Amino acid sequence: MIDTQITKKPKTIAEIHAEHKKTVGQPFCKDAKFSTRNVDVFYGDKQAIFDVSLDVGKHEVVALIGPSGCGKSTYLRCLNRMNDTIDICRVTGQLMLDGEDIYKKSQDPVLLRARVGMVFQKPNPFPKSIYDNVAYGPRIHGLTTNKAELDEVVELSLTRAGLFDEVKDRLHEPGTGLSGGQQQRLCIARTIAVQPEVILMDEPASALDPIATAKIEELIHELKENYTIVIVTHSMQQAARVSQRTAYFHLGKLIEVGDTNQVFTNPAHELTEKYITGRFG
Amino acid sequence: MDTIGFNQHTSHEYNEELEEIRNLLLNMGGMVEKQLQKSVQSILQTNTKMAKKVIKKDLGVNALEVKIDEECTRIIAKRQPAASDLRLIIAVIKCSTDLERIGDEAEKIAKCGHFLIENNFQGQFYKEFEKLSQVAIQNLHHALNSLARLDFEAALATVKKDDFVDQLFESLNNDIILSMSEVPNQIQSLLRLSWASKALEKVGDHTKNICEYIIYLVKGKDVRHLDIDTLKEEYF
Repeated sequence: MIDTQITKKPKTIAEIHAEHKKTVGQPFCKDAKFSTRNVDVFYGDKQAIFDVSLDVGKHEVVALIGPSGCGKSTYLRCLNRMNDTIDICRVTGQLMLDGEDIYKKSQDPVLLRARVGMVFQKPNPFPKSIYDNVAYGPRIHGLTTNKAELDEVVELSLTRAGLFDEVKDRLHEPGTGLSGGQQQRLCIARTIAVQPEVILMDEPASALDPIATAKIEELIHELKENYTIVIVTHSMQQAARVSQRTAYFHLGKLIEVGDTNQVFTNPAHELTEKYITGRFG
Repeated sequence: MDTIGFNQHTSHEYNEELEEIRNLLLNMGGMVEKQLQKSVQSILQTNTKMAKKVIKKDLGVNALEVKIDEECTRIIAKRQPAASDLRLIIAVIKCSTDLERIGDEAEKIAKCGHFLIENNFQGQFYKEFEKLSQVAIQNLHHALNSLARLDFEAALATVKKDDFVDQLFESLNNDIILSMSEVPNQIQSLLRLSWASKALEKVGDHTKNICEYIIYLVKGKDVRHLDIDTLKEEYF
């Protein structure tokens, strides 16, 4: 006969979180595009992010995962100073892009956002034509000098976003008339039209069906050749499929960062294990 | 020990599904262990009826392997398990394959036993054969206990014990080969005893595999084909 199983009373999530002091895994990398150290974020008196230090390598896709309210979107929004738009939000610590402090006084947030583009959860095309949606950024940043150049940028951006063939005959129709998946790819085309170096994606496929999601993921796979990508996702499978490294956030702390394959097969931290296996009650 | 907590998922149904495959595997382990004991007993006690029963019951072991594979496939499709859950599924699939093969070895031993009884074999080397079977069965028992408790240290200790099974087999097999030249009219029977011994040696190998999957399941380290002493120093 086989002996009966011995079970031990597990620690609670709150106990494990309280004990956590230092990020486990590999938060740093040699060829860092973004280098952030000891980042704290406050909304008024409430601290949302606690001492997060993380590098994002060049041409790397890093997935940020964690339960709702863990601070992953807040952290993402620090990377192109989107949090500046929230009056009560205060960011401290060091955030460097190519070795330059992005929070220094002389840094123009608009120019920063041209270098660090963003795609949101809900597709948000402007109420303009497909063409004008993509042409908007290059126009306001003066990236092109004539119509032919602008046409080229629009076509190239739509092609890179995997949308050109689907919309080439209706470029002057409203962008809002496209399907959800096409709208999201239009937003990606709009983002890459200003030739950013980094693309931040905040749950880019959460409002899309599986086919549109697959297209976005395929796009991320292609875009990583030329861009650095940081993606926030609630889909564990999506994080596993698209990223090289995965960072797990919990209640504002960066718990673990590691090679995606390792994180999803053998996470080093108990909280990561509990989250990705659905053991949060 | 089991600190993984397979019963702590938010979904109770998922807990039950994982518990179900663990139970199926442990039942299969118990069934296979019994088959192995009976197959050896059939030889040592010259019991034809018992040998035939073992041969017949192997179908039950095979059916259980198929059922476990089906359950695991269903869980993968439905739940997309990750981390320790994924390792559990992989380990269960792998262990069930090894257990099924141990079942096949038990069937082989029973068939050899049937032949030996039919041919009135006089029982040379039965003492040595019994010793080999005791060690192989004991190792399997320890491996199954480690599986039930998810005790990787006990699994590691059992991996190391496989060398002893190999030594006992080598020694017994050499004696059988020598004896063949001395009593040529017994070659058919001695050959069957050698095959039965070889089957026990293979049981040892499958037991070792099971222990390696337990280590993989608990520690997330694939320790197959590695030197156990080095491994213990490096990983544990």
